[in-house]
Amino acid sequence: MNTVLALVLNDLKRDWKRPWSILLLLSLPILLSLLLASVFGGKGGAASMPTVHVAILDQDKDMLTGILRSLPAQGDAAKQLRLHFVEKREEGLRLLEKSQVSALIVLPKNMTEDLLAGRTNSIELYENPAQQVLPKVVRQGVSLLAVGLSGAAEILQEPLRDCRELIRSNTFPADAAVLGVASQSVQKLRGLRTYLFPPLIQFKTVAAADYRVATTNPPALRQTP
Amino acid sequence: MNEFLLLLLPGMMYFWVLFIGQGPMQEVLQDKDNHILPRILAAPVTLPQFVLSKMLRCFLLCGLSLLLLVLLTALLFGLHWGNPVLVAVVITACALSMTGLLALIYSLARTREQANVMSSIILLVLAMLGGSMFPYESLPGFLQAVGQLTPSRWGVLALRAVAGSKPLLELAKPLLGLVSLGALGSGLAFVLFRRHLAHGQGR
Repeated sequence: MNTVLALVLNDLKRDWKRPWSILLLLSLPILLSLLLASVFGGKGGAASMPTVHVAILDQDKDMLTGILRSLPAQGDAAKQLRLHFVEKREEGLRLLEKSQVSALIVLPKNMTEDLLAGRTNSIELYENPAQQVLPKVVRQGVSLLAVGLSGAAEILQEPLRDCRELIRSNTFPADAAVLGVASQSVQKLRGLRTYLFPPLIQFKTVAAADYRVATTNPPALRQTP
Repeated sequence: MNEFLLLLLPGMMYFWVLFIGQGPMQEVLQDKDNHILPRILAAPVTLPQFVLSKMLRCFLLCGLSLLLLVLLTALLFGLHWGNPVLVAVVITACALSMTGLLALIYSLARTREQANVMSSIILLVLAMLGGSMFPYESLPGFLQAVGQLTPSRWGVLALRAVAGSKPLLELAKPLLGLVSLGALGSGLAFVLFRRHLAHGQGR
C-alpha cells in the first residue's frame, strides 16, 4: 500500500506543478452554467421580466382607444409594456421588420362607435416572426382585451355612450349629467357584483424552494378525447 | 438565478470532472505505448500497484475537483449545497463512480487513441442522456427511461437531493447506483487492466 501511495503522491505532485489543464477544465462547468443561467435564468424577481415593445396604429382615435392608450402607462405595466404609437401601417411594419417591437396592433376605424352600437369589428395583430415568446404574450393580451372590451360594451353600453357624449361636448359637463352616467354605471355593475366578486377560483404562486420534484418519471399524460 | 444554477451545475460538474479524471487513465495506456511501463516495473513496483495507483489518483482528482467546484460556487454565487457531511458523501460516491466508469472504458481499449475516441463518445452520450447538456425533463419518454440508468443522472440527482435537503431515502437510490458502478467498474477494470498489461509485458 505504501508503494501505491508513493506513486499517487508522486503523480499528484506532477499535477500540482502543472495545474493549468485541470484548472481550465474546472472553470468550464462554472462558466457554462453561468452563461446559461444568465441567458435563460434571469435574475429573479420583477426586474427580470422582459419589456414588451408593441407598436400601435390607432385609426379610431375615440374614447375607448384613448383609454387603452393611457392604460399601459400606469402601475407595473409601465415597466413591462412600452407602446410605440405610429401614424401609418408602414411605419409599424418597419419597426416590426427591424425587430424593435414584438407586435403591431391596428385599432380599426370606428372601433368605439361599432362597439357601442353592438356591431362587429376586428383588431389586427401583426406578430414579429423573429421572436418566440413575446409576440405570443401580446396575442394573449389582445385576445383578453377583445373579450374584455366586448363584455364591457355589452354591459355598459348606455353609460359608455353617455360618457362619450360628455367627453365629446366642448362645454363643461353639468353635475346632473355626470351623476346620471355614474349612477347608471354603478347600477349595472351592482347587478354583476354577485357574479364577479369574490372570484370563486383564485390562484397563488408557489416558490420553487417550497415544492419537491419527484425523482421518478411522472405518469404519462392522458389525452382528453 | 441561484436556483437555475443549482439545476445546471450538478450535470455540468459531473460531465467536466470526468475529463479531469481521464488523465490518469490515459497515462496507463500511454506508459504502456511509450514503453515507460517496463521501466516502472523494473523498480520495486508491481503491475497491480501501478494500476491501483492510477485509479486512486483518478478518484482523488475527481473528488478534489468536485469539492473545489462546490466550494467555489458556494463562495462566488452563495449557492447552498446543503449538509456538508452529505455533500462529502455524495462527492465521494460521484468520484468513485467516475473512477469506475473511466477505468472500465480505458481497460476495454487496446490503445490510447482507441480509448480517447471511445471515452469521448461514451461520456458525451451519457451526459446527454443524463441531463448534463440540456434539461433531462425535455428528453422524450424513452430517452428519459434510458437516462435513468446513466451515472450522470445519478450524480445529478444525488447532488440536487443534497442541495434541496431532500430526505435520505431519495438520496439512497442514486448513491447506490454511483457506488455500485464505482465498485463494479473499478473491480472489473482492475482485472482487465492487469490481464491486458501483463499480456503486453509478458508477466
